[in-house]
Amino acid sequence: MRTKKLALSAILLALALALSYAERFLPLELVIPLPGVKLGLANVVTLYAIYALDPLSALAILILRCIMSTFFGGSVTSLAFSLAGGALAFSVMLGAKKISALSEIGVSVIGAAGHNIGQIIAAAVLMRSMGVAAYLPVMLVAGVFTGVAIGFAVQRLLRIKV
Amino acid sequence: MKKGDIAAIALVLALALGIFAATVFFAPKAASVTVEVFSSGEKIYSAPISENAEIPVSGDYRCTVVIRGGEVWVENSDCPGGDCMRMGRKNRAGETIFCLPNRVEVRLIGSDLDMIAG
Repeated sequence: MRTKKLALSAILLALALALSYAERFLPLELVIPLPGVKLGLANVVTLYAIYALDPLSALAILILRCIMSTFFGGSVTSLAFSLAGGALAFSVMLGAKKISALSEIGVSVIGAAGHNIGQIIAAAVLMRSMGVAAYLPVMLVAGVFTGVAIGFAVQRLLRIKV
Repeated sequence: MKKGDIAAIALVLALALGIFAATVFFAPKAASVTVEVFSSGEKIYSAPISENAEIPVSGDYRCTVVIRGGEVWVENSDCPGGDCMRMGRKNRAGETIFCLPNRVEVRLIGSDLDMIAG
């Protein structure tokens, strides 16, 4: 059982790394001119890990993904963004999971919002200005779409027994 | 999809709308606009937008903040990405230009706001 969990965690970490790398090629800066801001596609792994594994494993995968993605040409700024976004997304999803009225989709939408708010907080601290909050509305709306897509994907994935 | 999911989506959209409304409606409608340039959080320039100026910024990267004809923009930035230049020309109070890699911020501040702040 431990070996199986370790193998699954490793696969999930690899998947999360690939997703956060692929995300860099989305020209998001055209809408939000803050380099390093991401949609949070790797959140799919965090959400799946929270449900299929346990919170601690999910957190370990998340932190390792953030650190390791800087090896693939990420900057200190993008590390700060992904850590702040990832940590807030993780915390709110863990809380939202306890609400029985929410399925994976609702938890995912709340997680996506947390991810975007976390990134904006990191940007605000970095710039020492609240002006960056002006980008939050467009990010939150985009987050609803990615959130629903991710939640839907995780709902389907969880039906597969590993 | 459960009922709570719809509520969660509605909540996030309402939050987005609320923040958007706050940034639009509470933006000061000022007759005169002051330009402030910050480099790494430190104010390096502050003057009315009507004053033409070229402010060289040398943080981690070099760029020039140009104020001319009541508009502000960033030129000749050697930062990676160059998003600050692509943000275009600004002329209204409440608008900002950011260069994250260089930690530069240009703020357009309405004079009404200064009066409230004392």
